Amino acid sequence: MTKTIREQFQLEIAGAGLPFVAFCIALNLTAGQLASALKLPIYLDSLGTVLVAVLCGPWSAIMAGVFSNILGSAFGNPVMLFFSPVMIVIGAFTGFLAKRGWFRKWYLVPIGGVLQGVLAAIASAPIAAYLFSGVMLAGTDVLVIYFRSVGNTLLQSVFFQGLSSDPVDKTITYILVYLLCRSLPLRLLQRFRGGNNVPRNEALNRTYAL
Amino acid sequence: MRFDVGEKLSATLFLILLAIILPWYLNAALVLCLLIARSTVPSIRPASQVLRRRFRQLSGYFTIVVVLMTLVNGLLMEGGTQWEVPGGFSISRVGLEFGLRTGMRLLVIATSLLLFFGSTTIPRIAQFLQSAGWPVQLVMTLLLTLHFVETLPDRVSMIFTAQEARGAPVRANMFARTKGFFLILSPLVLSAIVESIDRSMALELRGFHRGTKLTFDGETAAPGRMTIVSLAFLVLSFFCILWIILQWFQQ
Amino acid sequence: MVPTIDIRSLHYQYFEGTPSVLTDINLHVPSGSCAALLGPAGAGKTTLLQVLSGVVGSQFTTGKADGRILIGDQEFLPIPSRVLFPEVGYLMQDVSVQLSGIKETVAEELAFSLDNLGITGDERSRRVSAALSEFDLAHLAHRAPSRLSGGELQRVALASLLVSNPSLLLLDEPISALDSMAQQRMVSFIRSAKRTATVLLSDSGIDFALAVADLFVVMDGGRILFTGNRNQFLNSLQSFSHLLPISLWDEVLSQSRRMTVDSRITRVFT
Repeated sequence: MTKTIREQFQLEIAGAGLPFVAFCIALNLTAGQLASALKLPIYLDSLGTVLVAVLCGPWSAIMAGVFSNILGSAFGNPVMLFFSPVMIVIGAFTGFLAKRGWFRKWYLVPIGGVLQGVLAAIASAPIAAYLFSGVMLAGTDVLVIYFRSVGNTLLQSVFFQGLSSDPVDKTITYILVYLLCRSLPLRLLQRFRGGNNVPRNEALNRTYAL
Repeated sequence: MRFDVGEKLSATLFLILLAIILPWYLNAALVLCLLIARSTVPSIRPASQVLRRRFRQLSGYFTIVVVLMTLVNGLLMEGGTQWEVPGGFSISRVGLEFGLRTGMRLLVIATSLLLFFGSTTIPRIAQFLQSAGWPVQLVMTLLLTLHFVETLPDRVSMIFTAQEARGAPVRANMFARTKGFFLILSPLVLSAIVESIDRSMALELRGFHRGTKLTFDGETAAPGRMTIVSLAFLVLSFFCILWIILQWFQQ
Repeated sequence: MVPTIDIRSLHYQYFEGTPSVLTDINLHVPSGSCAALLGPAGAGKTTLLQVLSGVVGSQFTTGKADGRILIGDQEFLPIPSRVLFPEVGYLMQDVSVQLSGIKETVAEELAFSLDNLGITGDERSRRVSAALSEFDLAHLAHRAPSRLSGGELQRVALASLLVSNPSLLLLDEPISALDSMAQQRMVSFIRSAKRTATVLLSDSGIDFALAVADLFVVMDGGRILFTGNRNQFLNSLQSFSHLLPISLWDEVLSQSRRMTVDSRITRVFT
């Protein structure tokens, strides 16, 4: 019998899911700062959303993403709220891939990351174009200006700019999440609804006597 | 004049929709009105010195964005009167108007949201969401996030120092720093998972479950009720949406 | 009513096909007494406490259990499948996770359990005030929980536990992070708590247990190796020297009259 969205959501955040989702929302807000501190040219603002999507499920990932944007608006840039549809796309698509076992096979992870990046670029382009007309006081503004100067429309230019960074960022995020989940012992993975979405590390499980 | 969270939220929604409809000069006037209201209406005044400073910083940021937006669009778009500028460039009237329209819209939206979040704490928002019928787990997640946002920087700093002491390459070339990043992230996530398991047990052991209601300041959140002010703003917002849809079909 | 605890032939595995974490546990804890579960890390002490609290049955849906547990007049075949709140109060080993993390003041934190019980108004205020004064927390009532010291955190955690008037207290390594003054306070607390509750605590050393416990239970590898009163425990101490560290171990061995050592240890804590 098909479960309602509410029932599925309750199952996803049961037990350890609820505090873990809260942690992942905070991770979304701070992972980018950690990457900057290490001078790495990546955003990683959806790292927590992807983690939740893999370990808990798509509905809690959507919630994590939207809440990240709400809190990001409250603590940082107020218009982050308008990029919530992008987080919804990330949470839903990653949850969909995770349920179909894409995080169990290492070679599917980067492919999934690229696809996710393309989807994120498609979702964010209209928002960035309409709200900011491509100017966000970021280094990538130059790319938008370039694409516009060679004859592309504003929407196309913002989309192409997104295509130049989102697939790379999301692929790195996916690989990081895969490596993180792979390093978790079974007894911890089994506390999450999506614990079967990741490969079991047999060597680690032997160490933990399971 | 005091506004509750619901009234402020519906007013913010109305202002955002209004910003989409109004021409740029009326949006500019709206921004001025909001700045005056910020100083005169207690309910929307930023709640602390830190928030006031943040308001000023972000207002400055968005003003610069608007100016750049206007200039860039003026330079890149063609149409209407063209003005020559030094350097062999020309600025078009159409581009300037487009830039101003987009920019002022962004400024109204940003100012409205800054005023809302600056005058409404997250716990108040959580209380409102619970009284509006949202599941208690959602409200709990929002509140628990604040705890992690507060403790995460210290935790990261501790792991960063520990890993650096172990010789992790956190300050070397990019590839090494990427590896170092994982060495910080891995124990961070692992400890968070262990803490999440313990915390979920502790919450349940103290009686928290999906049927409970969180209490704020000694009062259980009152059943959500729509005030006249909220209703008025929502009705106005509805008309704004209708207007936008009409304009879109006419184009 | 202060319950007795009766456990018969309890076996528990977290997952089917994995080694049991509790094997053939048989234990009887009389009403109003204090039983100490002693043993090294990984002995199964925390698991047994969590099984009794009901949180294991509630959260570990893949677990497999056999046996029977009787807590007061409630019988569970094999283990409680829901958390036995408010009858049971459980103190986590890490007290920082004991607190909800969402309350802005200590007073609100203490009231969290009462709010979950639906207790409001004067009764809520009365119980919070009583807990604040009993644990010397009145001056911290409006302090943010994130700004408490380790000892203050422990007192708030204990107070938050007792505010719902549990009749069974399960304390997981309650003195592990406490200085000697705070340990003394914990001894006084447990002695007074026994008047209104049955207490089951776990510890990896024996000093604290000797000061407060009536029943001593030594565990290792998920099994109970020994159950007995204080005299029986002291007479059998040599058998468990490899499991239980004791600061006065040399003193114990060198003393010909174990009762003298016992009274010396007890005097340290009184």
